[in-house]
Amino acid sequence: MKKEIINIYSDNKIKTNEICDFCISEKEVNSSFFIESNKSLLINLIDIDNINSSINIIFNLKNKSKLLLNIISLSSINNKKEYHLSINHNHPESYSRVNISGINLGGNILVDAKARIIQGANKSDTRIEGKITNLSSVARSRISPILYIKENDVKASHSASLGSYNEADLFYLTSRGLTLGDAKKAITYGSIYPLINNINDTRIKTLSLDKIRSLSLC
Amino acid sequence: MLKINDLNVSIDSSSILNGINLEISKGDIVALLGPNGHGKSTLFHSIMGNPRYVVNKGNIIFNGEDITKMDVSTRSKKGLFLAFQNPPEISGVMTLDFFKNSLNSHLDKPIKLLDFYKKTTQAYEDVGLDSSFIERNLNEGFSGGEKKRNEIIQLQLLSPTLAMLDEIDSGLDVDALSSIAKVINNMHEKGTTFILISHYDKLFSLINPNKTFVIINGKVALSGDGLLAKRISKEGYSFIEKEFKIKIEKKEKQVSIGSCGVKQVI
Repeated sequence: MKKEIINIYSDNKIKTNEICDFCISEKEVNSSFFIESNKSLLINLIDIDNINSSINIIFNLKNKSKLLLNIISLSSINNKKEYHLSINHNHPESYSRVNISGINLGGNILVDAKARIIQGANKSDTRIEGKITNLSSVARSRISPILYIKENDVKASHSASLGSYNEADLFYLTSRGLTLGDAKKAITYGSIYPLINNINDTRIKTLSLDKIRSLSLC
Repeated sequence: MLKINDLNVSIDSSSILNGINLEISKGDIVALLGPNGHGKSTLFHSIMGNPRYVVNKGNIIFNGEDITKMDVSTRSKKGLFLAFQNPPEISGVMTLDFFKNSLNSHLDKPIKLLDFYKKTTQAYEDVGLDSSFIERNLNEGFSGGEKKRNEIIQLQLLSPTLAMLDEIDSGLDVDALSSIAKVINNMHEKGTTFILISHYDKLFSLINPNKTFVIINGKVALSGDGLLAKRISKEGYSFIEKEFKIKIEKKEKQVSIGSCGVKQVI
């Protein structure tokens, strides 16, 4: 059977377990994913180019299906990066994890992530996590994780962390001899490396690492 | 080695230290005591250069050099070390990478991998912590005692000339406290000078301080030899009010009740 090619820019039916890495290179993404029963989808979205982007993706999960979505976002000065994500748990025992990690050098990173668990989708499990580090006073970021729950027997949670560096963390690292720049690098890379490590495509992985390493954080 | 002259420090416009004067010589083991909230930890943070603590007046001389305006990492490289009362948990920063970078920042040439392995393995063994902790994120998910032992490991790796240990004994069981006291005594024999904050006499029975400074109301109200620390450990601070007519101001900590997240349910 010929394997269907998954494309972030079109609608997709996930009939086998899939792992995909996508580097965002176009300004607009409008797509949806239908994950069939007992199938899983791991998507790494890497949005680090110096472009404005608007990502609109809907995920529909069937029985015992699984979604792992990781987004790495790097916003340069004057960039506007928007993410509108809908995760629909339409059947029981569906599972989703959304993890967004961003570095904002002076643009906008806006995230709206909605997880819906409909009535009857019992034992479903969803979590949305977001962490964006603003590296300048003009950087503007927002994470809005929203949970719509219509079933009792479910797990649902979210967390969002926005802002600059924690002064106490910087003091601790510098008190051991690291320069302020190195301490900032350690914290910034620390938030984003775990997601980069999930990338399977070595070319995209190297590209992402090079881009993050080249940032000046002094 | 360390001389502090008329040090006045404030945090968020609130005055904490009001003219600290003290002098510490090479090889001293100093007990820094005082009631809660009177400025002991503030003094440590000020010596280490925490930017949150503003020096309004006075200076800090370390090995003949005025370090009052020096940045934190330079102070570390000059030989100062602070073991934190509450070491922060820093997710994503692997302990191994952090230890290596810290150590290398004090060296002219990066340490050889084998030497680093030997050094860290020994340090973990000395404090009775499993060396697999080195693969975990810095202090993340560590218990109170594990965090304190992690501080002592860093103390061993960096071998400072002056080490300030802020309540290093809190959260430690008896065996762990003995191991850490052994490390401190060994390092003292090799030349490290120590300033210790502790509220318990157990530590001072394992490590014998030769000097005591008591900070009350943001000033060194009383100083003496090691016996003063032992007396305070037994009797508390009330005798100071009676014998020395020093009024101890009550310090009440402001408590945050925190904030809640936003949840939308339909």
